[in-house]
Amino acid sequence: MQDDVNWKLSLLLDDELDTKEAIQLLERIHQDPELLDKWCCYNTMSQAMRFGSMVQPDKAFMNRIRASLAATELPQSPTPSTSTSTSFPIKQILFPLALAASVATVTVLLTKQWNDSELYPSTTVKAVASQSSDSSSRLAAVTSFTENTSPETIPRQPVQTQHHYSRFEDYLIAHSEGSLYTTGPQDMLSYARIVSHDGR
Amino acid sequence: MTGVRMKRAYIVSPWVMGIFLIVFNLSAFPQDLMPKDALGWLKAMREAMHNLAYQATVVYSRDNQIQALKLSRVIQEGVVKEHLQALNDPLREVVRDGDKVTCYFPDRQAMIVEYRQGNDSLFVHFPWEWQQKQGIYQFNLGHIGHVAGRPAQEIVVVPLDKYRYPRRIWLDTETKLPLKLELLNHDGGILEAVVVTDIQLGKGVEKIATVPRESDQTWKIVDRKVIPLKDKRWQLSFLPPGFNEVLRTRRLDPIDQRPIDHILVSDGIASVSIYIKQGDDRGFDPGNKKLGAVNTYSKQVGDFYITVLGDVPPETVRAIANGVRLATGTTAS
Repeated sequence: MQDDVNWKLSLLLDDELDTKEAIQLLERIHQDPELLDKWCCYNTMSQAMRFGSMVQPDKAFMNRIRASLAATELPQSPTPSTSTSTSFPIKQILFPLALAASVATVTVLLTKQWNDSELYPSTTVKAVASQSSDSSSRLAAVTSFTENTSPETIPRQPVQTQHHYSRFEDYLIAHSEGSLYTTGPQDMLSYARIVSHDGR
Repeated sequence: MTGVRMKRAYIVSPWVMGIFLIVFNLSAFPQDLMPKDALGWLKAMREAMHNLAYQATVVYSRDNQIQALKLSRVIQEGVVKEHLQALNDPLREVVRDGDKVTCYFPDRQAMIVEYRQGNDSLFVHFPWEWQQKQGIYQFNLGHIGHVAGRPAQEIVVVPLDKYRYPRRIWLDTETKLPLKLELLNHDGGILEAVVVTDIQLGKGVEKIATVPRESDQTWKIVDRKVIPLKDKRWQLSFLPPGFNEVLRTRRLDPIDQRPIDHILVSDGIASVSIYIKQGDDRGFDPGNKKLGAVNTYSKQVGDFYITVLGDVPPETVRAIANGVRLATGTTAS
């Protein structure tokens, strides 16, 4: 049963769960704090895998997000919904979940950027960040880094999703296949690149 | 006396001659098979790679990462079958069966099937002599050493401009198969390397499995159809000397089903792919992504998103991308 939920969370994350099941799962996530934690965790892991780092936001940080979400009034849709088929308004379910997941994701991305900043040293930021173990102050340090650094020195961090990596691999495969037309020792090399590429 | 001496000489000389011939043959025969220069070695390598069956364990390194791979190649009833599998996670595999290539991605539970266009007659055999004469590459003989316990001849491929990377190739002196390949930056640092650690030739190899370790019906299958593209509405206003267009095809993006034009150019050693996709594709944006010696560069040109990718320096992919033009008086579709 637990495996089934995990599997569905994974499918939802990859946008592969059908709409009906997605709505049911989102309702469950909305009502179950543990499942919400797991959902945020999955989002975090997914982003970490894509960006090559794994820094889990601490529990207190996540609790603060949840508390602030609970206190936040949901924005009203400018046009009233005409749908009567769904008893549970999907936007109302999705908004806090998406926001929570996004905050977790942004934390990971910024933390990743903070990690990368070590490759592009900025002593003041490093000093602040390394002295801080609290996620929110780390966030502040990273924000400060982002604001105080010229665009040329910031590594590019495009927000990508899993399928975009597939396209890069598609490009690599097509390139390798094409390269066969020129033949040579690079045959071996071009396919070695594909099988050893870890999707990052 | 003279007769005795002559008789002895007559008796001894066949032995001496025989021993001389045996010694001469043992030492001189392999020498006769050795190519005379670097270009000769590369031609022999090309021949060997087309005709020989083998199974090898290979170590591939790039960007401070190492991956162990198993590479198998057999020729069954004239059809080439190859199997390359990663021995560490993510356990990816590539299986080639004639013109069909299947890439297995267990980490994404997906497989991509691609069909090569045309046949061997379309293979471009770049005349390396021409490249040398034109001052594009210089091919030098290096040292004879050992790779995977086998004697190997080093060939050094030196580009004479900044648009491509130097390479070093070690060829098995017996089979002429490549045992080691290094791609270097212009400072001599190794960007990528492939080293054979163990190789098996001949009998036993033909029974290798070309079936991947795991796949089932839940896997996503991306069956890619590629069509040759005859129109030349996209033009490359800049190509480094020696680079020529090899193929031009169109495929559908498996993600959004929009067409992607693919132009491949090569100088016979290095290859560069130019991908042109309609629409704002900035969400993809590999930016200046680097994978070992492969560099990419992307840019938006009008309604099109250009991505250039190849095992050449970043300056080269950028220069080629900046030279992609839509021919005047044409509209892209």
